[in-house]
Amino acid sequence: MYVDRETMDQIIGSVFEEMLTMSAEFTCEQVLAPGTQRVIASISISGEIDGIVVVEVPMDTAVLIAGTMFASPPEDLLEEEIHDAVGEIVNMLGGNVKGLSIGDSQLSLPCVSCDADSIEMEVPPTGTSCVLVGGQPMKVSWYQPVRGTSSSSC
Amino acid sequence: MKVLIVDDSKAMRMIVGRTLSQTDVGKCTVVEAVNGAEGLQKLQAEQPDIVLSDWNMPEMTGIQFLQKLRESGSRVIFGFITSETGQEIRDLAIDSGADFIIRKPFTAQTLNTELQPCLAKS
Repeated sequence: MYVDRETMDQIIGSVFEEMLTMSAEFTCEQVLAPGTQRVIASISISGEIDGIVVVEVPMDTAVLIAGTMFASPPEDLLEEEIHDAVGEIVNMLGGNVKGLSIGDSQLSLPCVSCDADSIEMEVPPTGTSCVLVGGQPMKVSWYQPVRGTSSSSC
Repeated sequence: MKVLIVDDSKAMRMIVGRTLSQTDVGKCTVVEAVNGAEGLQKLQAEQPDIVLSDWNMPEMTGIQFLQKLRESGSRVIFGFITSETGQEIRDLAIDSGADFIIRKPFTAQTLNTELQPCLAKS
């Protein structure tokens, strides 16, 4: 089962707008410039739905998300709290993608890292959503193997 | 009212606690645990009225936590708040003794709707 962009956009919208009461504005423009220091969170799904969901946000966006989740000013946030917040975003996205299937699928724990460039995968993403959350850029990519191949985990 | 919130994400424990305070439960004492194993310890030590647990956690998952909790004879109100959805998960949760399962993202209204019948029964 493959996930289309419209479905992913609905999931992203519900996470940010319903639960975090942050705006989510979808855009066709590339929101992250190459070389931008970013927090990258990924999660693997295996089974009926197979793939990896990756969230990439610049540090400013990560701080905004964490500040909203913790109801805390940016200067009070610890790095682990910022990573935790972005990890929870990818966890919710992955969980909702997994929930699209009727059959049995497993969800990994989220994996979060910091990098100065985008995540490198052996294949191009199946889809990408570029979003402005609370006016700040975020990129969500998902990778699903072509039938007969398998995805690597984080 | 004492509530045990079990989630490996500190951010989500904060959100669940904050959302809970917006329900009819109102102000309550919140106890936290980072996984099912710690949840079992806190359950014994704190004797909460309600347990709200994530599903997907390291060391001991939410469903393992629930099963051990029910095996021990505890009848505490137990709800999952999880991004794990799907009928299979829902069936397993209810068959194992969960009172409800809420999908993330969630709102105070959703939480209130699930909690009220449980509180009325208890």
